[in-house]
Amino acid sequence: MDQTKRASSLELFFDLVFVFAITQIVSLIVHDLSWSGLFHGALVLAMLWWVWGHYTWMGNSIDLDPRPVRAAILISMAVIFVMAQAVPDGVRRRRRLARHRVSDHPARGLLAVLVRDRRRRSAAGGIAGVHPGQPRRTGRDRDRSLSGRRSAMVVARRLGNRDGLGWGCRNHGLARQRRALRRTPTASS
Amino acid sequence: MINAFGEAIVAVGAVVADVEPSSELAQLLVIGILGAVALWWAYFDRMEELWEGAMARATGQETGRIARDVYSILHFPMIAGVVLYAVSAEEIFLHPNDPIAGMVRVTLGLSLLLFLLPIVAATWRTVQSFQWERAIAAVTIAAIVFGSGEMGAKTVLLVTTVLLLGAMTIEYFRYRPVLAAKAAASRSASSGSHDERK
Repeated sequence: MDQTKRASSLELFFDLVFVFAITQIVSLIVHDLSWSGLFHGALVLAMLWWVWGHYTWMGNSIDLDPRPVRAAILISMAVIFVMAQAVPDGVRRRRRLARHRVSDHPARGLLAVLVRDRRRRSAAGGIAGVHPGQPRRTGRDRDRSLSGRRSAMVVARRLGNRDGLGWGCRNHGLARQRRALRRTPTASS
Repeated sequence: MINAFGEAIVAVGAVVADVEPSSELAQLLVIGILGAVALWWAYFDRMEELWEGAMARATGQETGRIARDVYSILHFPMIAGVVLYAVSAEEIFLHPNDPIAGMVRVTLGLSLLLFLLPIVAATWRTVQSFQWERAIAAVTIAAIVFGSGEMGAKTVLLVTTVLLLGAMTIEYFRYRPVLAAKAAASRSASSGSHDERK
């Protein structure tokens, strides 16, 4: 496996929908230049940031080359495009924003299934095996020491997680952690 | 992160696309781009290298913790800062000679604080080095913006940009030896494989 992989062109292409989303946030703030406008902008940005974090993290932890995965990413792109379109209106009419947020679920659910599938297949190769010999941990560090399959389930659940907020940090850390481990010879034995 | 910069330039470009071209506008665009260059320099020239080097050297769970703190958490205010910079630039470009309006003062001041201070924090978190030039520049610029009174918006933007570039230059010379050492250390430790998109 190519360990020094940089952001692929697919990922950069995918990010373009987030560029559009950020443009929408700027216009949201410009059209309501007040403390409440700033607050709304910050809220929407927080949501987008954590959704984006999920995808970035996922791009780091799985192989994006297989066609079904690519297809799923492109579908999510379309869904996020729709979400981004709803940004200015969504803050004024919250229910509509909520609907668009919900519409992201099928795409993320699909991705989650693919992630799980690939992880299961790669488990034999040891890619998902994290800390095989260590005792189960509790609290903050628990997620990082789960077995491959259980962590894949955690991943799937979190990708499909309704609010997309709050979990991003740990996922991100998990991914970096796993990649770091993957790089070490013992993790791939 | 590069996406946020792209967005800022597109947003400003879209605003001025409808304005009649003039030498006044050209001046403004040059100042605007200089400001963007200063922000770009502040982030992409040294920081990535420094942080990723630290992450490559970290072992075990520490790698994940650094990634969480630096990328998931501290990058959020940085992106917010770039968004606010775009908002401020749009407003300033529409009224270049008036004093900056109250809310735009807030957005411009906040944008530089939100962009620069998390960078200082991230550097402290990763390599325990304090970038005082940047911290001072951020606070000074915010003070100038809030206290700019009747000064024209264009002048304020120019002054802040020059200040930022100055601080970056001082920092560049101070950090050059530090960075060279860190880079050498991280090259020998590991070949980094971190995503640089943010």
